[in-house]
Amino acid sequence: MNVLKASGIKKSYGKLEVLKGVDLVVSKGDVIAIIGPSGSGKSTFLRSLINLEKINGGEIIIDGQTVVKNGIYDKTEDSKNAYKKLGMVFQNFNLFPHKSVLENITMAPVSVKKIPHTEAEEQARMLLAQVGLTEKEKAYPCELSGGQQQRVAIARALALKPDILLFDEPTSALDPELTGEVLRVIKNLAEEGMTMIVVTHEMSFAKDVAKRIIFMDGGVIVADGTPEDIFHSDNERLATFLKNYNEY
Amino acid sequence: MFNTVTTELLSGFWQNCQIFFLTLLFAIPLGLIITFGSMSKWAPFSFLRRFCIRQKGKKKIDLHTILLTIADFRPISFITRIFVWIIRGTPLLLQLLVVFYVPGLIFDYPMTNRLLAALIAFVINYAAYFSEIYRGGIESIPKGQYEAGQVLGLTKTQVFFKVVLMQVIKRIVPPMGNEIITLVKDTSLARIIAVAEILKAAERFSARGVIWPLFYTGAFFLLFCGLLTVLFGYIEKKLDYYKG
Ligand SMILES: Nc1ncnc2c1ncn2[C@@H]1O[C@H](COP(=O)(O)OP(=O)(O)OP(=O)(O)O)[C@@H](O)[C@H]1O
Ligand SMILES: [Mg+2]
Repeated sequence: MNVLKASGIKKSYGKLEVLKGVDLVVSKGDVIAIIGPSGSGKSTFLRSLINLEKINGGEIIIDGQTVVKNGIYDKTEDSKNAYKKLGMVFQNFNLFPHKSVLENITMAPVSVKKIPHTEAEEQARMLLAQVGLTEKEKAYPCELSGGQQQRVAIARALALKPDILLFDEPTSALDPELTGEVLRVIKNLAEEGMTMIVVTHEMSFAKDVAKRIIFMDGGVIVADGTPEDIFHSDNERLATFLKNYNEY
Repeated sequence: MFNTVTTELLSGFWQNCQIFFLTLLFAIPLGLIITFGSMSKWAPFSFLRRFCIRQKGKKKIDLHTILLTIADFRPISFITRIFVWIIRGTPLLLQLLVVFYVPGLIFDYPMTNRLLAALIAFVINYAAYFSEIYRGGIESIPKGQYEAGQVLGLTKTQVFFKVVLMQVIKRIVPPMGNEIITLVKDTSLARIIAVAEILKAAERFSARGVIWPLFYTGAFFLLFCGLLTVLFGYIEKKLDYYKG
């Protein structure tokens, strides 16, 4: 079943056309990695899906609800609620610095979903256990390493029980020795059947975890297939891009 | 003698305190309104963007540029910023005189209450300064904080009160502290429109050849500012539970 369908997504910043008609259909349980050179529009596309960028053309359907049609946004309550089915994890974590780890996770369940405080805290502790940070619930973000902060950010996004989780380069701001702990959490989620779209520069991660890889270049999807397809493609642009990651 | 001087100066200082506390009471919220004004994104002519068909002409100023400029015009923001520029760009002393004399000169409606006139000038002046501190604080919050709030489903109001506000407060406490300590000393400017504040009271003694009360007033200001410094230090320490 389609949980997300984007078709003909177009986005320009002034004269610069960043997305030139991007199509994507996401089914339940998909783990999609989006790869591509810098400036190819990966972030813009991901951010468009969750309404952080306004698109100029195309259609987005979230779980059957058309939120944008022909570049015109539907302003109904149904559409606003549809976005709540999507969660997002940012490159720079964007944790709330003035809130403790536990408060970061419970804020949205309590004030958006109106879940009772104690229940939200209980659930937050379970999520912290899941990302391996049980002992950090009282810490403030500034007291955590980047890898720990990103795991809290993942727990915070999971607390709203999204249908799809979007990641924009979740490990790019981390020291190399800290990327592993974050990628392991994402891998576990994939094994549990979480639907995810991950923009990443980590090729080995894309290869191991993603069931599907999308290669974007110049504002369009150039290739879309299984890791097998992608890493053995004879598409020239894709081959050149992958050759730059000479570890493979 | 010392006791009479002290009582006289105290009654004068009471006027300074009134100006001080009432100015804070009104200028702190008014400043926030001015901040919202200067940050207003309301652009009533933005519909003109639709008529902007880019021309391939070589002229530097074409219709396209003119239309875009008008479309981007934000009247509330523009007017508020002009207002703030005028208030911050002219002496408070002049503003006191304007508030006190101009209603009588122009509208034939003389200001009778000197304290009220002083208060109006102080509130407007300090609200303008506070608004700039608030604006700096709000604009210093990274965009990612708003985005994180949005993707978590918080409404704009929730993002402001639950995510942004506390962070802004932490950032503006030091500059607000400076400004408020300046206000303590500025209150004595009210004597230009004959408010019987502490320096005015001391001047009554020096007119009779007794100079020392004039220096004695310094003790009142020092004590008051000292208390405020301790208070702000305490608040800063309270907000120091996280970095950033
Ligand atoms: N707010 C903006 N204003 C103007 N141009 C922008 C803006 N955001 C992105 N762009 C431009 O859009 C293009 C695509 O940017 P995007 O961030 O989507 O690329 P990306 O594929 O995510 O790259 P990277 O791998 O470096 O993160 C770039 O040329 C960028 O300069
Ligand atoms: Mg990017």
